[in-house]
Amino acid sequence: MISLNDFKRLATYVWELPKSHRADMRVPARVYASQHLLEQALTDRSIEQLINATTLPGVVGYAIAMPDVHQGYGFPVGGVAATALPSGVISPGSIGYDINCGVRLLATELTVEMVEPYLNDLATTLYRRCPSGLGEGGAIRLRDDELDEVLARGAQWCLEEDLATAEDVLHTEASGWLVGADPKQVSSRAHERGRGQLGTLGSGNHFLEVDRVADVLDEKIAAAYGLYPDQVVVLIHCGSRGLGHQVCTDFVRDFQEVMRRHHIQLPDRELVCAPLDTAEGQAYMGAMQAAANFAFANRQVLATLVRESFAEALGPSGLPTHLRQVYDVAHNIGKIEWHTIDGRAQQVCVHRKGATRAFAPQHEELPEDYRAVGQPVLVPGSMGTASYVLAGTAGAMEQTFGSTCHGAGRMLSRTAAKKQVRGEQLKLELNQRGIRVRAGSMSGLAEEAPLAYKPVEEVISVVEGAGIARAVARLTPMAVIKG
Amino acid sequence: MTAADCRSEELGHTAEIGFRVWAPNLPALFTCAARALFALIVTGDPANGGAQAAEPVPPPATRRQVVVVAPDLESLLVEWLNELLYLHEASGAFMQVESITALESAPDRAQLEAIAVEVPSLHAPRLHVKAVTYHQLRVAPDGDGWRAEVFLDI
Repeated sequence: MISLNDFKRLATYVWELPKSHRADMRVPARVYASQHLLEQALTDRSIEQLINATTLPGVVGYAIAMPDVHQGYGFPVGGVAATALPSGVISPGSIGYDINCGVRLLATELTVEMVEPYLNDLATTLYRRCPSGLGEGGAIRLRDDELDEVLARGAQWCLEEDLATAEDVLHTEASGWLVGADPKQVSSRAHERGRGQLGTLGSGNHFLEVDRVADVLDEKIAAAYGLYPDQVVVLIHCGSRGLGHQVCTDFVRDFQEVMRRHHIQLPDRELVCAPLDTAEGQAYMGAMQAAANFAFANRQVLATLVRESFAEALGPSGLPTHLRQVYDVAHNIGKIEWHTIDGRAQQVCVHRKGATRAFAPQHEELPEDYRAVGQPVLVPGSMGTASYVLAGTAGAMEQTFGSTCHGAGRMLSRTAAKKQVRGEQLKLELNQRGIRVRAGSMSGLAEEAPLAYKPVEEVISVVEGAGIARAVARLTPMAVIKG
Repeated sequence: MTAADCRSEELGHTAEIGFRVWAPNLPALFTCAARALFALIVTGDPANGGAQAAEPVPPPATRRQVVVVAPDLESLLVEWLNELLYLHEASGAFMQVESITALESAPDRAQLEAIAVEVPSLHAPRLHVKAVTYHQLRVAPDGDGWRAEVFLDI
C-alpha cells in the first residue's frame, strides 16, 4: 500500500517516489499535484500504474503523473513516459485505445450577446449536422483507397479535398499529418471499423461545446491566439473512433508474444511493448501514426460540419459565421521528440496518455504566429464547468518532456455517477443555468456529470504553480452536444 | 445453458468498467463472460435483441462459426470477447453464444471453437465498449468451478 509518506516533496506541486521504492523500477516516479490531489490519486490504482510505467525498458528520466491522473488499464490516464531511441520500447497500452483522442478550438467573430438569440437553433443544428452517439455513421463514406489516403496524410488529405483551410492545418499539432504513418500496418478490421466513421464524435466523454471566453488570464498570449472576453468559441473533443480502438487491440494482442520473444517482463500485461528498433515496434509506430492521422482528419471534418452549422443557423441573420481554428492538439499519442535529459539532448518516444503536448515559446515545431508565446494547450473541464486554454512553457520542456494536463480527471466511476445523478435532472439543471444540452443518451449524460470529476480549477492551479503550463483563458459552456 | 446458469457481478473502476463471472466449467465460463459483456452493452436481454417486456423478439439472423487461438487461457478469453465485440460492431447485431463446440488449453496454446448467432438489435446499444483489455485479467479455478475477471475500455 503506497502512502503519502513514501513520497519526497521536491517542490510545492512535485512529489517523487524514488527508484528504490520497488525493485523493478528503472527510474523514479513523479506526481504533479497538490497534497489533496495526490491523496485523491492514492485512492485508486493510479500511482501503482505509474510505478508500473517506470519498469518499461528504455524509460528515461522519470515516469510522470499529471494532476488530473486517474487509473486506466496498464498505464494511468494522465501519465507521461519517455523511452530512449533506438532500443527503448513503444507501448500501445501507454498511448491508449483511443489513439489521438484530442481537442480542437475554433474561434468565432461573435460575442455572447450576438449569438444568444439564436443559441437554441444553433445547438439543434450542431446536434443534427455533427453525428454523435453509438453506431452513428459519418457524412463521408470512404472508399478503401480514400481511407488509405486519410491514414497516410491526415489533415493534409482534408486540405486537398477542400475540407480544411491552410490555416487549419498550420494550427494543428504536427500539421495534422504524422509522416511515418503506414496504412499497410492497419488491419482490415480496423479499416472496416473506420470506413464510415470519419466526421463523427462518438460517445462516452466526447463532446462538442459552444463556449464563451469568460476570462482572459494572460492578455498578451490570448491576443496572439485571437481570443478576447465574451467571444464565442467552439471546442471539439474526440479521437480515432473504432479504427484507433482496433489498431490498439491488434497490437496489444500481437505484442503479448513479441514480449516473450524479446524476454521482456512487465508487471501488467496491458503494458505490453516492443523495442522501437524492431520490425514489430516499427509496425505499431506506422499503424499508430495512421490512426492518429485519421483522428486529425476526423476532427477536421467535424470542424467543417460546425462551420456549416453556424452558416445555417446564423447566416440568415447576417451575422459573421467565419470560424478560425485556434489549435488542435492530441492527448493520447506517442511522438518521437528531442528532449534534454540529465543535461544531454536525447531522441525519445514520448508516450502521452491523457496528457497534452505543451511546447514552449521558440520551439521550432510551432507555427510562426504562436512561436513567441508558446503552443496552445486545450483542457476541457467536466460537462457544464469551465474549460481552459493554456500555453506551453519552458518549464514543461525542462520537467515533463513538453507535456501538461489534459482535463479535470475522473474521480467517480460511471456507475457511481449514475447512482448520484439522473440525466434528465442534470439536463434540467444545466438548462436552468442557460446551458443548452443536446444529448442522445440521458444515461450517458449522467455518467459525465461534473460530480464525477475533480475540480478543473485545482488541476490548472497545479500546472501553473509547477510552471508546466500558463493559463491563458477560461471558457464556460453555452451549449453542449453529446452522443 | 441459460442466463440463469451464469453468475456475474460488476467490478468498479474509476473510468472503465469490469465484470467477474463464475461458471461450473470452462466452456460455461466463456459463454457467461460473453453474456456479461453484452448485458453491459444493451438494455434488456441481449439474447432477444435487447427486447423489452411486450416487445416481439426478433428472429436470430446469421449463425457464425467463431474460432480463436491464443497463447494461454487468459489471452483466449480476451480474444474471444474482442472477436464478439468486433462482430457486434461490424453487424450492428448482438452476439448470442449458441454453443461452444471445443475448448482446449495446453501450456503454450489455447483454442476455442463456437457457434455464435447474430440477433438483430431492437434498440441502440447503451454502452460503447472500445475494447476488452488484459488489465487485471484473471481466469482461475474457483471451488468446484471457474472464475474470470475482465476489464473493458469504454
